[in-house]
Amino acid sequence: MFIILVKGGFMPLYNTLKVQRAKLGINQGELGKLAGVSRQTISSIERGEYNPSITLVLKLAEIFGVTVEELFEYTEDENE
Amino acid sequence: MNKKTILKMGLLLLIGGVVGAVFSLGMAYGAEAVGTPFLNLLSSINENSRYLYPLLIILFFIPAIWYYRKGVDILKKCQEIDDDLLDDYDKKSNKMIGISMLFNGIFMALNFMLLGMTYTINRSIMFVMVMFLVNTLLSSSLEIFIVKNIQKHDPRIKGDPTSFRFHKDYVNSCDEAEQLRIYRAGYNTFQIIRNVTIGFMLFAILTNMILDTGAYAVFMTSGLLLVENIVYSMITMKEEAKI
Repeated sequence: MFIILVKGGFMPLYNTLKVQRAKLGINQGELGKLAGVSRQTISSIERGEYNPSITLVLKLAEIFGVTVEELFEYTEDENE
Repeated sequence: MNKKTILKMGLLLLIGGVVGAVFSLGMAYGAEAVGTPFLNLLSSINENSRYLYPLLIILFFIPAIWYYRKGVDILKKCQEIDDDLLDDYDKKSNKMIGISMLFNGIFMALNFMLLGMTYTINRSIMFVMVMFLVNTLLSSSLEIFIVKNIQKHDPRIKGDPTSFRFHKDYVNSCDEAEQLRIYRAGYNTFQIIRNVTIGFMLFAILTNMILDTGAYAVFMTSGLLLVENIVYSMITMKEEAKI
């Protein structure tokens, strides 16, 4: 499976949100509505600028029908 | 506390002392040079209040409306745009509406300032009161329009802008990322306001000592600092108790 990993701004957190969203065929606004957050928040998560809470991560995993590990990946940053 | 911290604190106190001494000496010698134009300015504001109220509308309220309209126009375009371009449009729209709210906030503050400085004039007291009320109405209406428009484009956002509960309802309806931004902005604002209040208080103390401006300004600024610190400490303790 081809996965695009997006690096978080301050924490080494990667996500495949954009890929999962494309698979489901929904845009950021629609995903925002499903998750109960704004489109801007979804965009920030996709760009790795905002690290969501555990509650939101679980909600997103449930929407996509995947595990949290498939959606987010924590990797130690070698530069730190 | 280690030696370095003590040394740093001592140095800061020394710098503060030097700045205070230079400022005091400057004010003592330049009291008349600074005081006279300042008093003239106050008197001029008093005499020209009838022109200043409409001027506030031109300088601050009309630009606020202009930026608001521009922000709304961009928001309307957002509905037909692809996700990739939407972030840029959103940022532009937020910036325009933010500038609009900034102009409106300045308009409101200066309006109150002008009322406080000019209400003593007997010959134009009615005009001053009417203009103050008109300006306040304009400013409040724009604020309500902005909030209603945000709610129209994002129905998640709750709160009646005419209600006292508005800020509570508004924050509660925001998502976690938005709340984080609000709290971060609030904390940074608090830190700046505290420093500004200290600056104003020192200025009020010095002007009272040198220009004999009275203790009222000292009382108000130090009272504000007292309230800020007590409220911040109490809210912090309340929040820590929840953990």
